[in-house]
Amino acid sequence: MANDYDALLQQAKRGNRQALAAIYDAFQPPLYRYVYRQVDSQETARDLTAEVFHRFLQSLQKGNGPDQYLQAWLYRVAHNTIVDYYRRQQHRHHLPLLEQFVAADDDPVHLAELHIAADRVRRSMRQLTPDQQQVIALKFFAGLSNQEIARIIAKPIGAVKALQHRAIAALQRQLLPVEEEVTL
Amino acid sequence: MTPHFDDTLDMALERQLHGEPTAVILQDYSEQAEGLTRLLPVTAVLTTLPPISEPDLAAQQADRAAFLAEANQLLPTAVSPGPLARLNDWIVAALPRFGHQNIRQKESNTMSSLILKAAVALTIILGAAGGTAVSAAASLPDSPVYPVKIALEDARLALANDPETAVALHTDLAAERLREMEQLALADHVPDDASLNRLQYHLETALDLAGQLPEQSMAGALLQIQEMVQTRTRTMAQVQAQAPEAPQGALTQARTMLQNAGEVVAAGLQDPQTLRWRHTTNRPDAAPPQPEMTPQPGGVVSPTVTISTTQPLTAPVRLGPCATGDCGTSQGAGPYGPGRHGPQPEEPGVGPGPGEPAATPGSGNGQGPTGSNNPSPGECQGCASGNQYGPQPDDAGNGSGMPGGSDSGMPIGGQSQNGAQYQNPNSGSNTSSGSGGNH
Repeated sequence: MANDYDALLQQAKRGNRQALAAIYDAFQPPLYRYVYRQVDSQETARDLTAEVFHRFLQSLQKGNGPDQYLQAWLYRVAHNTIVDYYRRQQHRHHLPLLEQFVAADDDPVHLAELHIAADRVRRSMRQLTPDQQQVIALKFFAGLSNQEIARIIAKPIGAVKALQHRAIAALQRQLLPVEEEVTL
Repeated sequence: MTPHFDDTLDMALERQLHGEPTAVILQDYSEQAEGLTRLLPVTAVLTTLPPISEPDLAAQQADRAAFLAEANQLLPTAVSPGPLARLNDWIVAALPRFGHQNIRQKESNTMSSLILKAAVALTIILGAAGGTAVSAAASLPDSPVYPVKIALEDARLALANDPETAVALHTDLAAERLREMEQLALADHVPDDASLNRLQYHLETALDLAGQLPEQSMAGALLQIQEMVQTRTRTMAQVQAQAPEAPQGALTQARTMLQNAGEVVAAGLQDPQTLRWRHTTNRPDAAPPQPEMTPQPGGVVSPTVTISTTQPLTAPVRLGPCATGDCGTSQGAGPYGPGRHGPQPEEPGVGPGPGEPAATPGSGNGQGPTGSNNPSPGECQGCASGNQYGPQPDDAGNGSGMPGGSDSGMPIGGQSQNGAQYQNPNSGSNTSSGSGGNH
């Protein structure tokens, strides 16, 4: 599969529109889901995913895009895009409702509980180091394997497991109240 | 020996992600259960988030179209590699067809070696012809090596293994025909009818195939055609302003074709469903599923986009192939071009006809009239095109490559039940050797 993407990438670098379209079709859905889990709205997720592909095209235009491991490159850019987004957001004092929780239940009380829980999940995620955030998001939101994650964050698999352990331990400390609310 | 907790946690997480209950997982890691008991509930929160709400289809299409439009802006050049790179691509693309896929998997090293040797041999063999091919690539219709250029283009079309590639290729070739006409005109040479025919063929085929693409791909294909049309229209206007009088008529015809194609594209971008409908009408409900090679699985009798060379496009799409019966001839065009795509009937003339489930996909060499249950040559000539890819509800027997054509009398070729089938204007006319017998 990686070779297929590499072949597509080489064609895309030559300006082949079909290759570009194929890359978009292959990676837009998982990247959208990856971003969506970490931001606050469908529109934001769409915008940030589009930003990833915009950066991809720009890199091709400048001739400094990836030569291989396209998936890793795209997820890395997606991570940076999300970090940039939160950096821009840090001076804004609001935490919008997570849509997935809103859509999950029509009961107002349960909605409020989920809202609080969702906020805390996101807040807790933001307390992790960038590497820890990335490992958790790639593992649980993008569903990638340790090997894929290792390639994306450019660390050995052992380091991925260690980061994962520390991240979950940190989340446990952050999320204990949320755990009580969500897991009943 | 107790494994490292990082590894234990990772294994436990994998099982949790696969839906195993936490209690069951903890039983298997009793020595490290305390740590897991503390951490697994946290990850359970992360893994039990509700499903993600995806954007609606219109939003997805808009995002995709925006990406492709930006690609067109940022990467305006280098649509295709140079002639030598293309030649190399053809060789690489063609060679695997000689080996069975399983064999290739099992003996990849051997096959790679064989392929390498074959490539070297081909390179040597083609060495002498290489110079001709390269010079032919830049030749004009009045050049002696121009037929080589057309033959190479046909080979590329024959190797186009998916509709999107075929659309891009036909779009590129339409642009190439226009460039040739412009150069001829500036040299005070009049482009011949064959050039106009080829231009029309490429434009119509590109539009027809684009109209049958999945929704997500259609917009991109149409934008690609639109970009070419706009670029060439501007260039053509400049050339017309500089060209002598003699070639003006042909240039005007070419511009009209471009204008008509542009109108079809604009209409398709505005209302993709209508464009699609025009390409997917008339397919009987009982028609069987189509093989993967077809541009539009589950496709239908496809109408033909007809681009007039002489008048504005008032009725851009003719519903139903050869409604008038006054059509040209078909020459066995493949699904995306003039070549043979996919498996072919083993023997010419005996290609299975409609209603025969064993019909082999691909446009074959079947010579229809020799088969039984053929419509007589005078019947609906042009309705048939070649290649209907498998069983069809109407038992027309071993169909032949039936004539197809345009309202304007330009050869267009017939259509299959699931994909555009065109006569290649390069491959002659008035023969019925084209279809795989699957009318």
